[in-house]
Order: sequence, then C-alpha cells, then structure tokens
Amino acid sequence: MILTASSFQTRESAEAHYLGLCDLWASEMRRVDPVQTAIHQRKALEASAGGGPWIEAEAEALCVDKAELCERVKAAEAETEREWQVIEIKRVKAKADIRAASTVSQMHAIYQQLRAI
Amino acid sequence: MNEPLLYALADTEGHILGVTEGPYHYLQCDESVTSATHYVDTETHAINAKRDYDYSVETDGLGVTITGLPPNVGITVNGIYGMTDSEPTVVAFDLPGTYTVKLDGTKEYMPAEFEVTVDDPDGE
Repeated sequence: MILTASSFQTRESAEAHYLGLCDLWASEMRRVDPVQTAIHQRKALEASAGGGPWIEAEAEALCVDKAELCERVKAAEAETEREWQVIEIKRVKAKADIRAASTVSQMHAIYQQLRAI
Repeated sequence: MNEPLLYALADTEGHILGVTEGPYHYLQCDESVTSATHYVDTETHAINAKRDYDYSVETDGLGVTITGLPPNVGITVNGIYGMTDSEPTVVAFDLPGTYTVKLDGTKEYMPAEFEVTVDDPDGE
C-alpha cells in the first residue's frame, strides 16, 4: 500500500509558502521600524547638505564636531544601502530559484540556503 | 427472520444486572488483564497478552518502506491516514524532515509509534 504523506497538496501551494518565507526572511534581516528609517533618511539628507537641525542636535548631544558627524552619517547611510541591496538581491534570487524549482524538497533546500547566509 | 437471543446477566444473589443480546464469554482472570493489553483467543478461550508489532523500516530518499505489518492496521503520518494491506507499506513524503508514524492497535497488537527521518539527496 502506498501512502502519500505530502506536506503540500500542490506545487503551487508549496511555491506560495516558500515565496512568502523568503519575504519574511528579508523583513527579519532588515529589522528597522519605519520611523527610524525616516529619521535616518532626514539625517542623511542633512549630512549631504553639510548640516541641519537633526545633525546639529545630535552633534551637541554627543559632543562631536558637526562635520565629523556628517561624515559618520553619510558612511552609515552608504553601508545601510549596501546591506539592503545585498538582502534584496538574495531575496529576489531565492524567489526566482523557487519558481524554477520542480520539487518541494528543492524549494525547501533553496530556502534553507537563504537562511544560512 | 431470526429473533436475536437474549441473555440475563445476574449476580450470585439473583439480582438481574442487565439483559444483553450477547452471548459474551465470562472468563476468570487476574488484575493484570485489561482491554487495552489483552485479548481472548476465540478458539481456545485463553486470555493472551497483546503483542507488539514486529516490523522493519527502510528509508530511501523521501520514501519509507515498512515491512512486516499485518493487514488492516490503521497508520497515521503527517496528518494522513491509511490502512495496511498484505503488501509492505510505502510512505511517500515531499518534504525532508522527521515525522512520527502512529500505528493503531488491533485485537492482537498494541498500538505503536516511531519516528522516521527523510531527506532528498537530489534536492540541493
């Protein structure tokens, strides 16, 4: 007697499940709340312009030179952009591979590899 | 049409405890005997302890083959239920992992459960 003990009824339901997991992985990796992101963007704009209310308030609170703080903020912004891009490329690549996969265990392996990064 | 036979169940003082269609067998035993652990051999009327299933499990990729189970045993795994027949039972999974297989008890056999782990070497 053959008993089919599948975890997914169809390839489509497995694909939807694993595509969703890739998106969830990306949002876990980013881990920033929307207000913090907005603040970073305001500071980055001010740092490019050489100063502004956010930069000045922070420089005073941290007792650091305004120009140096601008450089720090610009470097941190560039690093964040790089990290986001890396996460995004991995997310879209994993999703493309999952769409191209023919078996559930291949999809599972692709997702496991994504998490291992 | 045959009328079913009725049996009165009485205690030793003569009170009737109930009337049943029966017939049932009334077999002396000790306190180790329970409905979960014993059964009666209908030919000899002996009370026997239920046995454990004697089976072997082989894993090949995402498939598991269970050999040695008698027919008509309920088997539950990954939310799916089936009944064994006279052939070995092949369980086909789609997702690597560790699963619990549960075997229902029967008149003569105790229920059982065990784990199997499957993987797909071609899945990478």
